[in-house]
Amino acid sequence: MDIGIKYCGGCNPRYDRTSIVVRLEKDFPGLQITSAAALQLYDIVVFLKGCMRPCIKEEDYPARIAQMIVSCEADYLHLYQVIYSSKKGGRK
Amino acid sequence: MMMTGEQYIESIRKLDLKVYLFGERLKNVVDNPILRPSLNSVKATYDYAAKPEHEDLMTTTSHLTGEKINRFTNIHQSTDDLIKKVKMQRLLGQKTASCFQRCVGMDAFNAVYSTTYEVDEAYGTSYHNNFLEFIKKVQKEDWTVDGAMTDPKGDRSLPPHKQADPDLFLRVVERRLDGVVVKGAKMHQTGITNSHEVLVMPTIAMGPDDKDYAISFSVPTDSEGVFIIVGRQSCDTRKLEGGDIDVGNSEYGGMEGVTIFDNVFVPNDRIFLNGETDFAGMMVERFAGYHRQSYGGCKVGVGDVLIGAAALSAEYAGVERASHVKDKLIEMTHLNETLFACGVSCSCEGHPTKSGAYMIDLLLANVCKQNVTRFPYEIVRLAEDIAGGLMVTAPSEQDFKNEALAPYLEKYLQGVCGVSIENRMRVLRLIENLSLGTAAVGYRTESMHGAGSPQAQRIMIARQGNINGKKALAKHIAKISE
Repeated sequence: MDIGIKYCGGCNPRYDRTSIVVRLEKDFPGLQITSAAALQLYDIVVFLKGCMRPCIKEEDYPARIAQMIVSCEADYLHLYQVIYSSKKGGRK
Repeated sequence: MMMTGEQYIESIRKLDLKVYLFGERLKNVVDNPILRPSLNSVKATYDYAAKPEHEDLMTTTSHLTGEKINRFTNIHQSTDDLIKKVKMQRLLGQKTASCFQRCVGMDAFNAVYSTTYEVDEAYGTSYHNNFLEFIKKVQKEDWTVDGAMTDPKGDRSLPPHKQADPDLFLRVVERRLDGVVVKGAKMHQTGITNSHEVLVMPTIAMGPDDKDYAISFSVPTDSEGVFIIVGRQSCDTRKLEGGDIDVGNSEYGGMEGVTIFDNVFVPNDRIFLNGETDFAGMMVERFAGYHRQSYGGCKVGVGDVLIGAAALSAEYAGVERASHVKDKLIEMTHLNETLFACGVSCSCEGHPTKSGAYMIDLLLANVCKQNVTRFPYEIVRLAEDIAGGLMVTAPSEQDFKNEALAPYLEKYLQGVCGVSIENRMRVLRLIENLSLGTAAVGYRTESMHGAGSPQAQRIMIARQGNINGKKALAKHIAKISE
């Protein structure tokens, strides 16, 4: 499973966005995690936004399974659940 | 092609800059310990553009070439561009806690771009084409450019052509078929030793008699006849002591210098204004407007660091739960975010110029800068209040390393248990650095006078404030019909 990471610009993030990637790498050692390139297809694209402002053009980053938006640390739980269930084949 | 930070450093190293510091010409500008932190700050504008977690803010697409460029070389094409500019500046203020020097060139690009378009429209000149070729080169080479506006000005009551010394405003002293020769000086040049080019603009609105002074151009910073005398900063020689605590910020800093143009040749294709005195005021006003917007970003980022440092100093002293400390941190945050709100709002209310490039709202940008002349001073006052007197009375880094003295200092300067004396000193020295050390040049006095002194903003606020319109509103409500 490949994960594309798309960061917002990070002008004044309310949390450490890179910590989400660190947690993903720790919780899912086999995942292929790369920086998302525009118009390239990934299984899951994770938008790491520093706040609630919609500054990323999400349509430029398509995904086979899901586009996941992380705007705060608490959003990690949902991201974890989606990746976990996708790896188990429980989610298409 | 965007440069990496290391490529930027090496590109500056290749320049033959004529730089004087403490009365002597520097053989090695790049590695000079007084200047190196300022170079590191500009380098950060390249480093952060290469980071995936910031590239959306730090880079954009050139409307001229379609290529990816550093945002510092961008011509703003929308209000979104203007907003992102301010956010980028806040980010870099947070990361460097100093002036990162590249804004002045960006603001000059945008002022000259739109003004040359309108000069050509009025006079049939080709300055805009000259500038287009120049800015394409800037974007392609990813240059840092110093925007040079402030002349020495001599007797402020006199226009350029009436000064006792005609060189007190930079002027054309020779017109040739292939270009012009200029003479004069530009004061307070932020980042000049870290720039590839210097983009010169007039400093005030001018009348017909000031034709030789209405000149805008760009030349390489190592051009024949250009030399720089570095301005000294409070506590600057601490950087020669070899430690990394007493300097407060060992990695980053800012620099300014007097830049002399001693009969410098400017080729025709690098001239962007040459005698059209009626457009000097437009160029000045637009540059000042953009630069007053800039301060609603960069100073806010530095303020974020200062607020954080004040909070840490309170934590290390065991007073973080005191209600008055909490309230002071709230006040500092309130002031800082008010500055940011002004920077963002003058961007949101921006509008297209005839060239298509976007301009900020002048009234709100001047309100922004007027607040910047005040709020950082109050933020500093509150930071000093929280930090306590030790910020300025603590012994030197060397004393803490002295085996005989260290046990006493560690015994008597201890704050809360579990926090090292060294860390306590580091944060106090950072506050000192921002409040009255080298970084205070950028955070305090530059907040006062950079992008125009307070009265300059008040003149603009008076012009833009529409007092007659407000009188009409009052008359309507009060039912006054005269």
